[in-house]
Amino acid sequence: MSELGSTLLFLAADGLIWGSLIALIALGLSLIYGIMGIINMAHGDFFMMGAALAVALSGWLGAFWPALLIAPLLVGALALPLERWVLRPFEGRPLLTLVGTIGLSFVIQQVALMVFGGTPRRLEAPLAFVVSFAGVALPGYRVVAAAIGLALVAALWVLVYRTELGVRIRATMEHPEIADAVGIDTSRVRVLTFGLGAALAAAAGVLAAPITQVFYLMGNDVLLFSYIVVIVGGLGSLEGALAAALILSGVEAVLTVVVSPVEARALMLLVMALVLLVRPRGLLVG
Amino acid sequence: MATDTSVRAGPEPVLAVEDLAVRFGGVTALDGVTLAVGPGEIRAIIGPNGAGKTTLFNAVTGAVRPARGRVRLRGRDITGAPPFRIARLGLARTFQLTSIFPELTVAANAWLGMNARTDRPWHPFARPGRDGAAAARTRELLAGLGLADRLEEPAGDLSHADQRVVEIAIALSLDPDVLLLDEPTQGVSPHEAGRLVTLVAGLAPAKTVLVIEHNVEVVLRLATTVTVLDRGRVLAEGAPAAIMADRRVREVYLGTTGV
Amino acid sequence: MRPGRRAVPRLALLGLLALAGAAAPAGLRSLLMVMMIYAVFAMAYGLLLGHANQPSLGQSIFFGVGAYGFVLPVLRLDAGFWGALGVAVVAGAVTALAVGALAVRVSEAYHVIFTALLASVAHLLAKNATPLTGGTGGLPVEVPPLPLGPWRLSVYDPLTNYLLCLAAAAAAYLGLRRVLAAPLGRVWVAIRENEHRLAFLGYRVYGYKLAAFVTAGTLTALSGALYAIRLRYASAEFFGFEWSVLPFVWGVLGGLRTLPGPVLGVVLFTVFQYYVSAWWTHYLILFGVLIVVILRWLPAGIVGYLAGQWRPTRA
Repeated sequence: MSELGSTLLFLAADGLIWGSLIALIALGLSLIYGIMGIINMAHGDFFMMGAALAVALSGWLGAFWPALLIAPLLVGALALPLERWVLRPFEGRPLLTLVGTIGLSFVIQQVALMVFGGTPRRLEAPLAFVVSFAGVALPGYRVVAAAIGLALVAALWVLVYRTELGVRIRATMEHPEIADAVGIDTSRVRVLTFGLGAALAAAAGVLAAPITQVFYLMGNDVLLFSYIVVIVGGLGSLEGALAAALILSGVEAVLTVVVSPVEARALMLLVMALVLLVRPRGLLVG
Repeated sequence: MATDTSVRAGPEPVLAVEDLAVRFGGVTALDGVTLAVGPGEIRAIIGPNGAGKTTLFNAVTGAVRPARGRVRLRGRDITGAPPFRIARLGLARTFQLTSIFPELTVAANAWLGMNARTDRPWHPFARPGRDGAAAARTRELLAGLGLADRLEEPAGDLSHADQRVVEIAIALSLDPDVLLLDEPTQGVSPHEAGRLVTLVAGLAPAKTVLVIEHNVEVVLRLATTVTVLDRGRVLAEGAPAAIMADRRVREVYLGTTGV
Repeated sequence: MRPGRRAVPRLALLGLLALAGAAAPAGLRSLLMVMMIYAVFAMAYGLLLGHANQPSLGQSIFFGVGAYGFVLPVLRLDAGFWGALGVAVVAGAVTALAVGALAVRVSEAYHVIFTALLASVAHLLAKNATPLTGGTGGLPVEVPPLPLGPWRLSVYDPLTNYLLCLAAAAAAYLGLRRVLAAPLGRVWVAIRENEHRLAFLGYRVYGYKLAAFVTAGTLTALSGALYAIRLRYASAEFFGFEWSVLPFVWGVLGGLRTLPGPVLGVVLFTVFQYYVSAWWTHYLILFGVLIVVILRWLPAGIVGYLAGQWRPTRA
């Protein structure tokens, strides 16, 4: 394969890998937005917490993988009182929720800064093999991380479409008044969904820790991109969010053949802004 | 801009609707409605819930785009025109769910329509003040509606019935030729309803009025002609007494309040 | 209240603030200056969100444009003070027109994200275009002297710099006050109250919202220019996300429905930042908690709450 070809393939694969992590975040966001109708400015910080916890736990336990279990549980559990104290008082008032979650974001970011300091950290990849195909060599850990990410997405799909909890979630999302009338405890569903979304973001953070720089502000970039993914993929559409995450990340990565990563990101954001203008309901829906 | 005129005996209709159809997704809300309202008429539009009455108003005022058909205001084709343009042509409406400006005073609510009629409604530096022609007209209008003593109160503080009056006042402040009232007596006590009815009756023949109403009494007292809508179509049309006696109309209303 | 009756307390306040600038110790004066620069920014945002219903998270675009709009003409074109300030303000207006023409079309929820997107793009591009903007490192500038009638003033004299900011803040406040009392301003209030109905009254709401957006953007650019003047410096970080978030926080805290509301939010935040950050670097934690607490109990913001206590008659 030509040099350009393998570069493109590498970038595309790398983009897809990152995309599967973004998908985790975006899916949680899609559920939260679908059920609560809010923009949660602190969602990126759940991702950051996952990554930070991964770094910390790796240090204390000497192993990486337990973090994948522990961090989402911790963050998900933390999300529950947060929902009660920061989100529920502002229910039905999206503007206040927006500002409230900004306040929350300040707090989370500063705590992270306090505990972990301001220098970006890098975590050693726990796996050191290489996956080669078609003349392209990908770091093994990344492939595994993507696989785990997709497995989690699949698990989420099963949860939402094949379990009773999933039925309740979908009912609350699509027809909240009917759900209430039928006896579904919609507040409980809301809280659980929020916790679930937070846990997913944290899981993505754990998986991302060996791939990227862990920094107390890393949530901000991810936040915007994830919201776009949700919107482009269609609000409330899980498949749409997954597809959008993969496609957008892949395209952005491939663009770096011609432009710098910063420019690639700027270009993607610009295109997404235009999409928002023209088809706010999402590209991949309907 | 006038295109072909409709062929009708009698005076030129002020508002004419031809074969109007409106669809939302898979639902057909209006399915070929034709009617013509003459100048000075008070036309009552009645029909069971979901018959398409408010949709008719929405199509006429530009809030929704019809899938088929024409709307003509004094012969001029206004189909699909944006609401602000239709309002400027002299057609104003009220809403079934009170749609006023609650934190503004009653006077300010009425001022908005007056301001829209000036040549510089967007003036960034003029001082509207308490004196001046527009303010006087506003006071006059509101006094005529029985709100003279509530001018400086925030409109949201008024009783529901008074708010329904403000609802109408806002539309009237545009000095429209045609007024579309969507259930003006909705949620209002019988006594207050009487007051509203007198008010509306007084608007004609200077203005042409279309009223969506559920209340039979009101319809009988007010209307010159009644059009009955059912499932997006015109079921019957005629003088109020005749319509109320019409068997088809009674059938369609079985089980609905007001009959 | 007749305009004349309000003028006396206002002039007194103005005089007091001017004196404060002369008499106060450097630290306090600097703090007041920052508050005044932010006040212009905050009032502009109050107009945007409190009146035209546009929850924008993209004001950092205009802040940065204003800052560079001043600095670049001075550095590259040898522009004088007023010329550069003029460029900054005009650049702000033009950018706001371009952004607003699109952003205003988009419905509320998407507007937040749309403006945030554009702001992010602007930030990235600014960081990237190092030869033009100096990137995150920024461009230091020597601020030219301020010709005023027969005098040549210099912002390097702290009192002059202070009075400049005071004049700008006062002008912005009075100007906005005048506009809000005029038909344009009252229509803006009506947009906040019931945007939907206005179209049926013959108003082209898009135009009014765009006008609010452009006015807000222009004032924001002014505040950006003042900020750059004060620091004698502009950097790509002026396009950063925090400059979009802060006005939002100031506005919601202080109350968006009145003109002085966001200014109160500025005062609160700046004082908080100044004093609390002295003993705890992580003061933002407290502030974040404060935001949630204030919003919980006073969702109309502080001024909104106070204003609600004695029912204002708005006409």
